[in-house]
Order: sequence, then C-alpha cells, then structure tokens
Amino acid sequence: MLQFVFNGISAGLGVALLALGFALIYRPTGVFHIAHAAVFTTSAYAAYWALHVYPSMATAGIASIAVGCSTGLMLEWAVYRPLAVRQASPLAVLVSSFGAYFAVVHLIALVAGSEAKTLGRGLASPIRFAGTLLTPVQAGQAVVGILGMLAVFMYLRFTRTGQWTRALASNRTLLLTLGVNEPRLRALLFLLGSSLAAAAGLLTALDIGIHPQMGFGCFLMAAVAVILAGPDRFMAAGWAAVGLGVAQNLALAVLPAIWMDSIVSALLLVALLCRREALVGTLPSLGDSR
Amino acid sequence: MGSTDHEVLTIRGLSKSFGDHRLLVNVELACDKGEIKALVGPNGAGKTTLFDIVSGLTLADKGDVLLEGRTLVGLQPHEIAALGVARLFQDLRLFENLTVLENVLVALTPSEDEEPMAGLLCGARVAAHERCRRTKALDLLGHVGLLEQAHRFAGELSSGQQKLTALARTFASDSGLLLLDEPSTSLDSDMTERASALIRRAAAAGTAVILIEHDLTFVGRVTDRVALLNLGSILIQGSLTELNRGSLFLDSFLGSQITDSAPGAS
Amino acid sequence: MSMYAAHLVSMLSIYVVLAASLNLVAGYGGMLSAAHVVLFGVGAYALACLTSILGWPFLIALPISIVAAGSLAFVVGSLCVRLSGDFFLLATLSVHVLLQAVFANWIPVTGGPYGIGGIASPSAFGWSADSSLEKAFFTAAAAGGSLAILGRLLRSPFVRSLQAIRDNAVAAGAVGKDPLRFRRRSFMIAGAFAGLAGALYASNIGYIDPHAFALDEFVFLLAVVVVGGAGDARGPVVGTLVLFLMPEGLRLLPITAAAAANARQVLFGLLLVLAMRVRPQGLVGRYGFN
Repeated sequence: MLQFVFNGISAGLGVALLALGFALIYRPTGVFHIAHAAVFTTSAYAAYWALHVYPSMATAGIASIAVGCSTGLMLEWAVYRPLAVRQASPLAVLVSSFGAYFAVVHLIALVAGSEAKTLGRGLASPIRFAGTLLTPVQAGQAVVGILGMLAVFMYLRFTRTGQWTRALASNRTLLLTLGVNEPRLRALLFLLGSSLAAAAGLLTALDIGIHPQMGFGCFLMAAVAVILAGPDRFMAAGWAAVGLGVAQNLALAVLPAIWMDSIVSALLLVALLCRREALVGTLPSLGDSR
Repeated sequence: MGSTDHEVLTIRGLSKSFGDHRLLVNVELACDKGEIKALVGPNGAGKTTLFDIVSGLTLADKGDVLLEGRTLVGLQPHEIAALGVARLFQDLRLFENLTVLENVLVALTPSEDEEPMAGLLCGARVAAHERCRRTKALDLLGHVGLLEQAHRFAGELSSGQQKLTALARTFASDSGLLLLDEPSTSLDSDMTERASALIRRAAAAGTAVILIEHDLTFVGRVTDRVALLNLGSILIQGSLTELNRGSLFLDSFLGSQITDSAPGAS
Repeated sequence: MSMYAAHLVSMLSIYVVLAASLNLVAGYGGMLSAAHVVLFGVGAYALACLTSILGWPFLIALPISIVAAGSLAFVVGSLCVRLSGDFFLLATLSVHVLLQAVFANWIPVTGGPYGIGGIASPSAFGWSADSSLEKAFFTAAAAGGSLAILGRLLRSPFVRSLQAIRDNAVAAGAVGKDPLRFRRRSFMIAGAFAGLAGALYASNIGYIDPHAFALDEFVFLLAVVVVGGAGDARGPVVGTLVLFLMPEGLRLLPITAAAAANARQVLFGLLLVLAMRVRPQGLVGRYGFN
C-alpha cells in the first residue's frame, strides 16, 4: 500500500514539473499551450539520443533542456507571438497549438520511428526506502521534482520577473501600463516552462522510455492539476499534480492498468465541470479581459 | 417609494462593490412608460455597470430591479431580454460574421421559429414568417440609412455604420425598456439625427428609454430628463435646463470632487 | 470505374458528411469539439454490433446508430456546452479518451483491439450493395441526402442565431437567445450526423477497430473544416476534396507507408497553424475563429 503511495508521489512529482511549466505559460499569457506536450516529447527524445551517444546524465540533461527550450521558444515566436500581435482569439490560438502539437510529434515519429523505445534502466538496482522499493530513477524523479518546485517557488516569490509573472496572471492590463516588456517576459516564461517540461521529459525517458505519443497522457494530467489549482495559482498546481499521481497509483491497486488514462480523463471532466472559472455564462467579473 | 402603473423600470437601493471599490451606492432610479431619461456622469462612475445589472450580466450586492413590478434579480440575460428589455452596448458587440441584415433578423426572430425541426417540418409557415421579418428588417435599415449595406458583413463596416447596425438591432424588436449606452458616439450629424428620431419614435410608442450619454447636446435633442451619477450615487435628477444653471451639475460632470450631495427635485 | 476509384468516392462521401457535422459545431457554433471522432465511432460500432453480432437488417440498424450517436452527443453536450473555449476542448478531449478506452477494452461488445469484422454491406428490401460500385452509389446517395438536409438546416433561423451566439454570446443573450440551448441542440444534431457517417463507414469497409477513431483522425477532420472554410456549407466539400487528394501525392514518393502516414499528419498539423496565421477562414469559409 505504502509502495503505491510512494510510486504515486514520485510519478506525481514528475507531472508536477510539467504542470508548473504549463502554469507558468498559461496563467500569465493566457495561451493554452497544448504543444507543451510536444516540448516534453522532444526533450525526452533528445535525452534518449544523448544517452545513446554518450552515457552521461549531465549531457543528457543539457541536451534535453536545450532541445526543449528551443522547441518552446520556436513555438512562441513562430506560432503564438504572431497571433498575439494580431490579437487573435483564444480559439484561434487553441487550433494553432493543437496543430503544432501534432506536427511536431509526427515529425519526431517520421525521423525517429513510431515505435516505443526504452533505455532499460527501469530494472536497475532498487533502493530501499521506508519499507518500499524505489528505482534510482524514481528517487531521482522525486528529488528533481522537489528541486523544481522549490525553484519555481523562489522564482515567483523572490525575483522581480517572478513578481511580474504573478501580476501578469492576475491583471494583465495593469502590468502593461507599468511598462513591462511583454514580448521579453513571454519569451522568458516559455523558456522557464519549457525547461521544466524538459526535466520531466528526461525523467520519463529514463523511467519508462519514449514513444511519440508519450506527451499526451502526461499533459492531460498536468492540465487537470493546473485547472484544479484554480486561476492565479502556480504552486498549488504542483501539489495537485502530486495528489493526482498518488490517486492514480492507488487506483492501480484496484483497476487494471488499461484504464489509467481514462481515470485521468474522468477526473479532468469532473474538475472542469466543478471549477467556476471554466464555466461560461456565469456572471463575469468586471474588468475581465479574457 | 412604490412603483406606479406608469413605471416600467424601478431600481431600488442598488449597491455594488468590486473588491474595495464601491462602484454603486444605494442607487434609486425609475423610468416611466414613454419617458426618455438620460444618465450622465463622468467615466467610471458606474453607469455601464448599472446597465449590466439591469440586463442580468452582473449581480448587484444589494437592492432590487423591477420591470413593471416584476423583479429581474436572478434572471438570466436572455430571460430578461424576452421580457422586453433591449440593450445597446457601448462596445457594440455586433455579430461580426453575419451580415447587417442578419444582425437585425436575429433580433426579430422569436424562439418558436428557432427550433431546428421547424424549417424541415413546417417549411412553408416558417418561410412566410421569414419573408415578413425580412421586410420589417429592411424597412428598419432604411430608416437608419443602411439599406445599401444590408448584405455586407457587420465586421467590415465603418464605425459609424457599425453603430447604426447596433442601433437597428436594438430597435428591431418591440421592447418595453430600452437601455442605450452612448448611442451618439461614432455618428456623424446626419446619422445622429436618424438615431434621435428612432429614440423619439420608440418613446412615442410607449417604450421607456434610458440613455447613457456624454454628449449633452444630443441629450438635449431627445429629452429634458437627466439623472447624474457620480461616485456611485445618483446625485441629482431633474430637468436638463434647470440643472444646467446650477454649478453643482457642471462641477460634478467635469469631474471635480463633490463633498456634499444635494438630492434635487425629481 | 475501378475499385479504387469507387472506394475513393465512398470514402469522400463519408468524410464530407463527417466534416459537415464538425463544421456545424465548430464552424457555425464556434465550439471546438474533440469528441467528434468518437461520435463517428459510436455510430460505426453501433451499426457493427447490430448487424454483425445481432444480425439485424441494415435499414433498422442505421437509424438506431444515428440515434445512439445523437443521444451520446446530447449527454456530452449538456454537460460541456457551459464550458468556455479552452476548457470545452479539454472536456471533449477527455470524452474522446474515455470512449476510445471503451472501444479498445469492452471486449464482449466492441471486440477490443481486434474490433468487429464481417459487417454486412448496406442493404434494403432484399437488395444489397455488395460491389465497390454499388457501395459507392449508395454511399454517395446517402451523403447527398444528408448534406441536403444539413444544408437546409444551415440556412434556418436556428443556425443563424447559433452563429450570432458564436460571434457574441452576450449580445445574443441580450436579444433573447439562450446560448446553452442552441449549443446543446446543435451539438446533438452534429453528433447524429457524425453517427450516420460512422454507420456508413462501418458497412462500407466491413470491418472496424479502435484505430480508425484515434485522435489523429480528429486532426485530419479539423484540418478539413479549417482549410476548406469554417462557417460555410461548401467548406467541408472543398476541404475534403483538397485534403484527400493532396496527400495522395505522397503515395508516389519512394517512402514507406508508415512514413507517409506520419508525413500526412505533419502536413495537417502545419496546415492548421498556417491557416490560423494566414487565412483562418480557409478557402471558402465565413468564420475565422475570431
């Protein structure tokens, strides 16, 4: 039982990285960055390739972050920024993001093949911890996840741009009148968000392996976490992700594994229907620009 | 203050705060059948919010809004519209991907004709209603001078033409109460005359009209009744000509601070 | 007419109807629904179960399949139309994942990953469309009839107000339209047409499995609607023709079938991004997702 909980915490911390990355982009800019899942996938593939070329965790880390950030920034500059300049509607951004995700993911499949690949590290010698067995990857995932959450927390609390980020999430027009350089702040947010996605991608590559559709399920979970956390919330998304990881793994104790994605989807539906911010036709608040 | 037989709109003790900011404080306002009342005041005074509350887009914190004695609080916007309240939005909110004619037709079509099966099963009857509506819509567009633009997309028009489209849409259905938010902006002098003609005609037919306006000359052309809203309260209500003579009115309108409020004669 | 050409006519007919139904919700209704492909699937599986497993005649199975898809669409719609854009897409995406799981795992009914085979060809009063040519005639006729009905609907006051709600829900409310009522009904009708297309698909091919209703199909469908032109009755026809024929050119290239499949998906994703960037109303559309 405790094993499931610890598995869940480890998995959840991995998703937390993805969720925080998504929140850092979605909450301040309003862009529903579905292609975040593609950033995750490209980073994972980069890590896999790096480890095959040179078996060092450091180079794998650098490779995944480099590729992830490049993908993320490319998406911002080629897809989102032009739409923002044109003041395109969120629906148009959504369609673009959706298309971008598929284009990138299938490009990966075209180049690297559609089949799943693993690194075989999941079977490495387990560590004993509080009466449960954890693989080194799971332990690493937990550590990186905690460090990532700490880093985001400190960024938002203690840096100037972090405060702008929080301000942008709650009141965009006010921040712009203060003369903050919005394109640069957006680029920074995509950089940070993509780095977190890259870390998550690297860890998943080590843990389970890679395949072109890997980003989809993880992203759904991250999206549930961000929505459950609510508007203007960042850290709560991380905690929600951990909670979801635990819930999902506990469910594994009773349900067959094939229903995993379905559980997340069902949770997502419930979260959406219950969260006020998701509803249209609820009385809007004044000064609502989105 | 009870509502009389002639009163179409009764607003009692309406208050609304947004966080710490008190937007509306104990507002009392009424409008009778066939009366045109102008709501004036500096920007940010809460006038549009008042309209939002009446048309059901926002909830007030306290107070009541009655339409011919019936409370509107808690009703959905489309239910309020169905009771005969029509609104012109300050930012127009046109159906940009529909033609000018379609914009007006949407307002003219009752819900019975908007059943999906209606066209398929009772084709002839719906078609007859449609022809009738088209005639009415084109007639109205003629009144506002938009007949030539009838088949152009609303999003492609100039701002003046868009304003006229919005006006036509607002005046299309027979309403008991009209809420017009800045009807004269973006209009040139010819269009302004058409707009004021529409307003006077509606009032003559018994509709209660409330307008939010900054252009006092335009106000003067349609009515003499004004209410001044500033700092969240109705400070003065009365005749435009009377109030123009008092400096309290001008000071408040130009935005300088008011330390005491003197409720004038209604 | 060769078998290949006849088969192409059948497929084009089916996809035009499917695209037209998505056009109703997305192009005319402004609702980006990712559940459309599984509604197509529900129609297909319903027909397959009724004719193949229960042995019911086609003429009875067809309307039941349509009603099944329409009913599910009504339930999903009732839950989801109150959600705003981003969240509506997420919610319908969850529905997609859930139904895909049902298709793939409810083995007694859907045959699981192996699907259902031996589905009877369309038949009526003793006559059966067995050859490719007969199937092409029947399917094209069925599609033509469906498009005629749908076309009439698109010109009705109901859809005119639906478009008004799409363009500005608040203003539509101010002229007495209940946005939720219109959205729910159009979602249900679109679902019914998607189910019809699914039933035609199942009886045409004779065999279905969950892969035919994957998210990749949705990207194709969305690209058809967007590129063809949203909010115009001609859009789905133009889009289906263009997007069916364009990738046929890929067949001529010396690449593997798997590579061609991935390349098609990259193409569709890129087309979506490009369309939103350059010409969101597509080739003949009225609505630019604004």
